[in-house]
Parts: sequence; C-alpha cells; structure tokens
Amino acid sequence: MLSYLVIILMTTLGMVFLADKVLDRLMSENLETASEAVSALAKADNDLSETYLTRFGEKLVEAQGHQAAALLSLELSKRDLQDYGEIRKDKELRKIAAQNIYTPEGENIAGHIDVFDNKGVAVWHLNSSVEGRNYSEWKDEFPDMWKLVQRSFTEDRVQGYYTFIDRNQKAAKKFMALMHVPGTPFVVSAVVEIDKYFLPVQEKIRDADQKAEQQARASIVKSTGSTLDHAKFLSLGGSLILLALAGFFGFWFTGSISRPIMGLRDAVKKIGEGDFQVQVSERGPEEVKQLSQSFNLLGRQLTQYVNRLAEETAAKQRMESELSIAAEIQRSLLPTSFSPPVGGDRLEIYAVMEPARNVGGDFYDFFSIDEENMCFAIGDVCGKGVPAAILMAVTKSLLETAAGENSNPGHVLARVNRRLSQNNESCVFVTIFCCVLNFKEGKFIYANGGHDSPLVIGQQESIAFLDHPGGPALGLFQDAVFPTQEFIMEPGDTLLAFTDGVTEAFDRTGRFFAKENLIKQARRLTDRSVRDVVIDLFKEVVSFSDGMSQADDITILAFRLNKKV
Amino acid sequence: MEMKVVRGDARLTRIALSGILDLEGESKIGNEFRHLADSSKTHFLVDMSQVSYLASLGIRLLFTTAKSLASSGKKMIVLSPQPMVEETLMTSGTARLIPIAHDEDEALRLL
Repeated sequence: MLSYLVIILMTTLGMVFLADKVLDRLMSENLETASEAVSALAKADNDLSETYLTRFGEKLVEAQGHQAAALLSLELSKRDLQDYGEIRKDKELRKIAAQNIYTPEGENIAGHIDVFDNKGVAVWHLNSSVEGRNYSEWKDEFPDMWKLVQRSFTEDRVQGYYTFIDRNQKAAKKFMALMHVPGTPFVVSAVVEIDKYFLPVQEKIRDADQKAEQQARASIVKSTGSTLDHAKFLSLGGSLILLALAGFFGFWFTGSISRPIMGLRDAVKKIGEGDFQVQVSERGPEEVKQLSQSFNLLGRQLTQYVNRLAEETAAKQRMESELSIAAEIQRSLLPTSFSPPVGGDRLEIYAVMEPARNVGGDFYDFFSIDEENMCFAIGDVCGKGVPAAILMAVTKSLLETAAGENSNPGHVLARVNRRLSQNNESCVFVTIFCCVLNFKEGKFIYANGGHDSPLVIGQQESIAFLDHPGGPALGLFQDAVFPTQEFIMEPGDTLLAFTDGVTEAFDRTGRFFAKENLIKQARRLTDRSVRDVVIDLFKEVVSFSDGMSQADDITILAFRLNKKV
Repeated sequence: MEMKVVRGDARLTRIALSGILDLEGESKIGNEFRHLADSSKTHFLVDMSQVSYLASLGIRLLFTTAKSLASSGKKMIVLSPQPMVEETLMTSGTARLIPIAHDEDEALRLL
C-alpha cells in the first residue's frame, strides 16, 4: 500500500513538473508569436499610415499649388505677362508665387512653390538667383525633374517624384506637382520632400504605434502570465484532484484485493492451527474470487480428509485393538505351560511362536493321549495374518479332535487333511509335523504333512534330520496318504521341530539362515536345557536377521526325553 | 519378482520367473500368472532357475495354477528350480501335481 502511494505521488509530481514545463514552453512560444504579430501589426499600421499620408500629402501639395495657380490667375489677369521684371517686383505676386510649403503641423518647412513659364524659365523662385534661369540647366543633374517639367509644357497637370541631391550629396525623394496658371503661360511648381513633409506626423504615428505595441506587448505578457498562472493553477489543482482520486480508488482497489488476501492469510493461519472449518468470503476481483473458492474447496477437502483420516485412524485403532485381542486369543490357543501333563521329569518341553504380524499362521501343540503317550505337533499355515490365524485355529482344533479319535499320526493328518480339502477352492494348505511319543518306551511315531523334517539332537553331538516319510501339505489333495515312521529316542535326545520362518530367515545380504546353520547352532546348544536351546536358537535367528523385518512366523518346538530317575 | 512369457507354441507356453516368490512377489505376478493359465490351451513350462526363494504363498500360486491347467487336461512342469526351491516343492508334496524337470527334454517327456 505504501509503495502504491509513493508511486502515485511520484507520478503526480512528475505530471505537475512536466505540465509546468510544457505550459512555460507554450506560453513562451505564444508570447513570442503574439509579439511578432503585434510588431507586424504595428509595421503594417505604419506602412499604411505612410501610404495614406503620402497620398494625402500629394493632394495637399497639389491643392496648395492649385490655390497658388488660382490666385495668380486672378492677379495676373490685368498684367503684362511679357515683362517678367515688372511682375517680379510685385510683392503680393511674389508672396503667392514663391512661398514655402510648411508641414501640416505648420512648424517646419517641407518644400516650396515657384513658377516657371512654358519654356522652363523660372519666373518666381524663393532663391532669386534662380529666377530667369531655365530648368533645362538641371536636366542632367535631375533628369526626372526635367521630364516632369517638360510634360507640363503640354499637359495641364503633372505630378511625380524625382531624386534631389543636395550640396552635401545627400539624396532626398521629392514630390513635384505642376499645374498651369489659367490664362497665363505660367506653370506653378509645388515641390515637397514628402518624408520631411509628414515626418513629424509619421514620428507621432510611429511613437503612437510603438506605444500601442508596447502596451499590447505588456498586455499580452500580463495576459499570458495570468493565463499561465491560471493554467498552472488548473494543472496543479487537476493533479491534486487526480492524486486524491487515484489515492481513493487506489485504496478502494487495493483494499478490494488486500482485504480478501488478508482474510485468506488469517484463514491459512487458522488452518495451520488446525481449524479446517474456516471459510473465506468469495467476493472481490475475479482472481481473488477464484483463489478464495479454491481455498474454501481446500478447506472442505481438508475437513473431509481429516474426518476420513480420523475415521480410518479410529478404524485402524479398532482393527489393531482387535488384532491385538486376536493375537492374545491365538496365543491362548497355544500351550504356554511347558510342564508335561504326563511323564513328570522324564520329559522336558519348550516352544516359542513369534508371528511376523500381529497374528500368524504357525502353531505348535502338545497334549497327552493317555498316561504313556503324548502328541506333539508343529504346523505352518499358508499365508499370514488373520486368514492364516483362523485356519491355524481350525487346524489345531481338528488336530486335537482327530488325535482323540485315533492317535496314529498318519490317521490324524489324513483326517485333518480330508476336512481341510473340502471346498478348498482357494487351495490354502497347512504343513504339519505330528508325532506321538511313548515316553516309557522312548519311541515316537510320526507323520509329516509337507513340513520341514525336525532335527534330532543326540547326546554325542549327533545331529540329524528325521527322515521324511512322505506326505503332502494338508488341504491340497483330499485323498492324500500320510505314511508314518518310528524313531527310538535315547535318553537325553532332543527333538527340535521348527517352521520355515527359522531356516528361511534372511539377513541384509539376502542370505538365508538355512538348515546347515540350524545344525551348527543346535550342536552348540547340546548341553543346554530344552528351554535354553529353544530361546537361544530363536535369538540366533533374530540376530541373524540383523534388523530385517521378519518375513515369516518363527516357531520352534522341542522336547527331550530324560533318563529314568 | 518378474515374469516373462519367453516363447510359446501350440503345445507349450514357456514362462520364466525370477526373483523371490513370497507375499510381495505373489502380489506382483499372481493375477497375471493365474489369468495366463485360465486362458491357456497349452501346457506350462515354468522356468524357476532364477527364483531364489519360494514361500508358502508362492507354492499356493503354483498349485492353484497347476490345478486350473489340470482341469482342462494340461500340465505344469517346473524347470530347473534352485535346490532350496526344489526342496520346498518336494517337501510340500506339490510335486505330485507339479512335476519337476531339470532340463527341457526331461520336461517334454513329462508332458
């Protein structure tokens, strides 16, 4: 806003400065033009005055000549016109025939009247020495004069100009009017120097012109100055009005933009504080309006997103809570007490199951068949998560039910397999190792439904995988047969069953834990309790993974047949 | 996990799998693999020489596909699996439906 005002102010000042310069220039040019016009007018007036004065002077001189001619005509009517000497003596005649011509003001002599006869002989002249002389004597000196004189011999009236050179060789333009004296052979000559004749008048006219010119100039200067002041006043006033209007509209316009933007800023701040319900006015210039609409849309979408996120978070929390409960339920399905239900100290049992997710598909189980026999099972359901956990629970239940009906592991797995294979379009399956141990005889019978063969760890560090009697994973083939085998355990022997989460655990390089490593680790743990063997082995697997996410459930089940006490 | 239909003829579709066929691998190729089997009129020869790990979900994928082929009288042969993968197949018992061959001639004989 401040920058806008500074720009407006600077622009206005610039406009005022420029207007001032332009007006000065215009006024200066106008003044010059007006002065030139006044000068031209004064000159024209002067020229016109001269022209008319010349014509007027000519008429006056001619009139004086005519007056002299008329008077002489009267006076000479009874005289002897042949006797020039006699008539020259008449002072009255001389007074008429040879006289000065004064300027119209009557102050200065501008010319003279003299008389010559029709042969050019001067009869009367102010300069008496000229009288008797013929004008032809000056025909070479003043040829134009002589031409006028000659014309007067034949014409009644002659007038014209000639140039007179005085003794000082100064030229003067003279007007000569010649007219006959009626009834006589005489010609009156009225000669004036026109410029001299009207010089005082012309000087007065010139003075008047100059005065008028000066007054006109002064008036123009004054008028121009006044006009300039007025124009500057108007320019400044106009600029101030423009400045005020620009300021007003600037405030209005910038306000119309800045107010919504300020509103947007405040709204953004509120959104930043978590208030997604905030809405802004969708008024103002088109761009701001679109921005406001977009902002409101964003706010609504954010609100929807946050609501959805809250719902999803709540749902996720519910699911996690449910999964946690499911995990607890799943754990509760697995035996957690490892005190043998039968056999007392002759049996040592331990197991762990760590699902890759909250719930898993692995399981282990052990339960008594009768006073001498116990059933052990370890299984791995295809897949992970809740579906696998459900199938695991079903399988475990089927397993216990089947074992209660017929303790032969082959029969148990076959029965469970038939049940799982029914309507199993999605081909889910379970691998199970199942054995029934007669701890009195130290013998167990086992069947294997597609599961990794367990290890038997002997007293003398003899470690070997049990033979796989053959038998597919349960659920794949409804008519599958699960052959059984027997194994005689020596006191101190340990059977270690596991799921593929152990051997297929991998480290950061992608290397698997593998069965070879399992044997190596088991050999290291031969002198440890069953519990320690299981826990240490589990720790080894976790350590081997080196922080890599657990890809599969890890389950280890072990039991040892101790010596008879 | 990657799957390529290497070449095929009127009798046999040759598919090469590579990578780890676990949960992630199965979700990557599973649908395409099943769709291929559902629309196939030929036997499948699945080259698994470049599969380094076969999880239970991978077994399930192979089994369901083989079962689908079997319903139309076709077979799936697994070709040249790595030892660990072969052991997994053998242990799980799926080899009953999905024979394993160590070269193409053996595979063709098994068809």
